[in-house]
Amino acid sequence: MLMPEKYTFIFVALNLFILYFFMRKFLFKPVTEFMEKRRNSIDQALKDADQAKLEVAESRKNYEEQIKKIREESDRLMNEARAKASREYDEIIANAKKDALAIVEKGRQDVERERTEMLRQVRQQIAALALTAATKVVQANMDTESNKSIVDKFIDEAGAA
Amino acid sequence: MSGLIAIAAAIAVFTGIGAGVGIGLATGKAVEGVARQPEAAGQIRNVMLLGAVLAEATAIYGLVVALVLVFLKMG
Amino acid sequence: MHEEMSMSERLIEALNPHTVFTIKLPGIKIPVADVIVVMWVIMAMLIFFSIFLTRKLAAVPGKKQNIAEIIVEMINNIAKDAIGEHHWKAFAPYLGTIFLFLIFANTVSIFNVIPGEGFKFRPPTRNINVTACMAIMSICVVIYAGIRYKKMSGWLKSFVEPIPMMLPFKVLDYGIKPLSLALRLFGNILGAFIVMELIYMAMPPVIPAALSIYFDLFDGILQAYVFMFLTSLYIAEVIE
Repeated sequence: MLMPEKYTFIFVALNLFILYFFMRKFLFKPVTEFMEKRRNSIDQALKDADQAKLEVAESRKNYEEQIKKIREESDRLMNEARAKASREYDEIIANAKKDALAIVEKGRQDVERERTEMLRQVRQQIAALALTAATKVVQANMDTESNKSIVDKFIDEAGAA
Repeated sequence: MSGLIAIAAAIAVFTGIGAGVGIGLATGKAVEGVARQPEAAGQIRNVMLLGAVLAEATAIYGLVVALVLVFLKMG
Repeated sequence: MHEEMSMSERLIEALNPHTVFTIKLPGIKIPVADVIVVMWVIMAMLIFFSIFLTRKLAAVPGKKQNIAEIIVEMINNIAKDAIGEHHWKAFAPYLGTIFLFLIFANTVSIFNVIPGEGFKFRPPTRNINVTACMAIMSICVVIYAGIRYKKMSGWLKSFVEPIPMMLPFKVLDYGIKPLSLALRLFGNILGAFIVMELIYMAMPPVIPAALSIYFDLFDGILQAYVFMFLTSLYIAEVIE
């Protein structure tokens, strides 16, 4: 066991070389590479998940902002529309009132005019009637012109009464 | 002659005493260190192992010299 | 007296390597010792298991893959701790190879299932040629690491640092390191082996089993770890 033997020495060296290459090729290299690959993939997956989470938070924030903006916008539009509508409503009401007043006024004027006309006609007819009646009643030669003025005066008095 | 060689081998093996004392001291101190700082146990173990291994070398040299004397000189 | 002689003869017979067969090539005859045969058996087993365990690697590891991953992870961690984050990858396979080989080589005597005479599994590391070869390979790896990662000039400069006076000691270092590695492994395994052989001879075959756990298993695995640990320390020292 203490004697140097060159063949044993050479064999051991050869064996160790062979063993080293086999172990490296079949055990250490594949397993180390595999574990590293797995660790990297897990790291990558975790990083991706974090990224996705961040993105989701970001998009959520954006979305909420947008929603808020839209709500504000809609509120504004609504208010505007409401104001406009009320303004229009007021306008319409005012127009309608004006129109109605005008119609009423016109109606009243028509009625007034017709009444005046009617009164005039009635007065003429009454005058004529009264003249006729007076002519018939008085049976006198009366100046038509002077009589007519008397009758007119009478009718005026009657109308005023 | 062979009797003298046997005695020489026996004296060579006395180196084991030094190794024993050295490893004992190293281990004792390592135990103290671990008791004081349990969190450093791994590092202390490595250092202790290194010290023990170096202390052991003397005993091994003595053993090898004894073996050489017994097997190579006595024939 | 006769009994004693036969005991020492049996011990010497157990310690010395035997030529199992001879490879006859034209011109030279190469004797193959039992040490080498045991080594081939261990190698075949290691290679078989390394192929068997890493077949069909899947993202979700099965039982076989778990074992392979635990072994590789452990060795990678030891290499990472000793050598550092940057260069451990180049040396982990070598450290792992010698570690796994030494674990089986040191503890192979517990696989002696057949009692009596015949071929016995005895640790190859009880032979100084084996340990010397491994130590020289380790120091070659250390020198390779120094030249590879510090360049030739940086490695040569490390001999005269911090003062040029250190040159002879540093040169001596490269001789003492493999010597102590080889002798440590050889002496420990041989010592445990001799003790176990004596116990086997002195006691019935059942009682040594308990002592075998310490002398074969514990000591063998510890020495395998120490060999790898020292190699990784030497590599780390020369790289820094």
